[in-house]
Amino acid sequence: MINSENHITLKNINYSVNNKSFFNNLSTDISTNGITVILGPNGSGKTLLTKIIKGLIKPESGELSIKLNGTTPNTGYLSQNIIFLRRNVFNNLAYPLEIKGFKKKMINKRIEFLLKYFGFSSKKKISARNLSEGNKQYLSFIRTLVSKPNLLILDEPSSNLDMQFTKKVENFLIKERNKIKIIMVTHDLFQAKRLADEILFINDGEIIEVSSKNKFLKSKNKLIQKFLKEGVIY
Amino acid sequence: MNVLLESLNLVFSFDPDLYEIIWLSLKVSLFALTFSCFLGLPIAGVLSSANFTGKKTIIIFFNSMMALPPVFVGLLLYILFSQTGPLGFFEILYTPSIMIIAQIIIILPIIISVSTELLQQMFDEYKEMFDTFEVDLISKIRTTVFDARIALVTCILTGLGRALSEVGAIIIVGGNIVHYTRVMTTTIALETSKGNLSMAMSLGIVLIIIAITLNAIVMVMKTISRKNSYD
Repeated sequence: MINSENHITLKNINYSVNNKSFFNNLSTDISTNGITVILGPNGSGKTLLTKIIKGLIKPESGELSIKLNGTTPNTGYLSQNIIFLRRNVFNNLAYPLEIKGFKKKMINKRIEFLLKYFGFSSKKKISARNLSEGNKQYLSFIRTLVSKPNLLILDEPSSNLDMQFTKKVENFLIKERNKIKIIMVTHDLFQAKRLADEILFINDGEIIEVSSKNKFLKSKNKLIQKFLKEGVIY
Repeated sequence: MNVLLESLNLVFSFDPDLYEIIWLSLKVSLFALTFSCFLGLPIAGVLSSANFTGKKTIIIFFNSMMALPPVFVGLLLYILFSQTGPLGFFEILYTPSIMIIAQIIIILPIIISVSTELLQQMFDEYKEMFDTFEVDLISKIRTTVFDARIALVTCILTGLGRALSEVGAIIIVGGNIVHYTRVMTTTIALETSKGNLSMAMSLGIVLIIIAITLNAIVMVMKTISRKNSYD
């Protein structure tokens, strides 16, 4: 058992996909500060890893332990699979707080603040399900923030966003990186270079490297070098 | 043609006897529907959202109960509530109360089965979001029922339609007593056998008007829902 006040630790995680072992005794420690970017080619296990960290998927065996400031963190999770209730933008944002029993006045204040901050106020009465794919992803990102999380897990948060929204999301992440621990998956190597304090590289269910951005970019590992050069591994 | 004109005349002459029958029909069916919804929707909510042993068996049971012949329900209730029956001490045979019970037995499985199917689809769609926000079971049920409300209205009105058109069970347990347990469908059966076709036809027209009204309500609700783009 891990005892430190701050840690994000996965120890001997085993998980099978289609009866085939995918994560085989996967162990790693992720930094508890700043932004950790998970990089890797398609099908390498990035999303699966975030789902395990969030607790959406229970591994077959192994230990997952997350403590920030000595307590279990309040986690905001952005999935690639964006799901909204059959309600308008405002009510979709309010939902995570409503189910936790927050008072209406407090909910309204929080949502109005976020809508204003992210420039989404004009859309608050529109059905969330009728937004464009980009707006849906942007709204989904805003929704992960309503409960003031101190751990953010983002699975490709800007894959459908235009330049303007991507910039807003990135600026927010940079601004909050010292207050919120951020773990994010991205395919965009340039985005990783812009945002990452730490990079976790995964390939075929195996963590190849977890290191600071500068160290990662100078990695001697052939797979990483190939990935950095071509963006993919064949 | 004469029968049709006479029956239309009866409907629009606001004959008190006719409207007493219509009112009792609506009262019995709406009571049964309300009770079935209060009981059925939470059951459907649990069946669609929770995982427990025996869930599939319960779903199969309610699906099978949808095909229960109303005459058999009437017979069963008659045996149970007749003076010599095990529940005879309630003394509700040939009263509107037992007619409500009969209709509940008939429409409850419809409400549960159709709603479960509907809520299950929505629950499957919302599942990952529920897990992400760590939503408890009660909130999951409340959310899915609330978001499926327009579709559930269609299901509820199907139940009401079934209740209003039911005749086999309530004629047995209600006895078709004039000014007491006589409802539209039992009156149609009786008046047809007596050859009073205009009376039977007038009640048939009322049933059709109710059916059209109910469908119009559903259509309006769906239109409003689409206009608000919450579907």
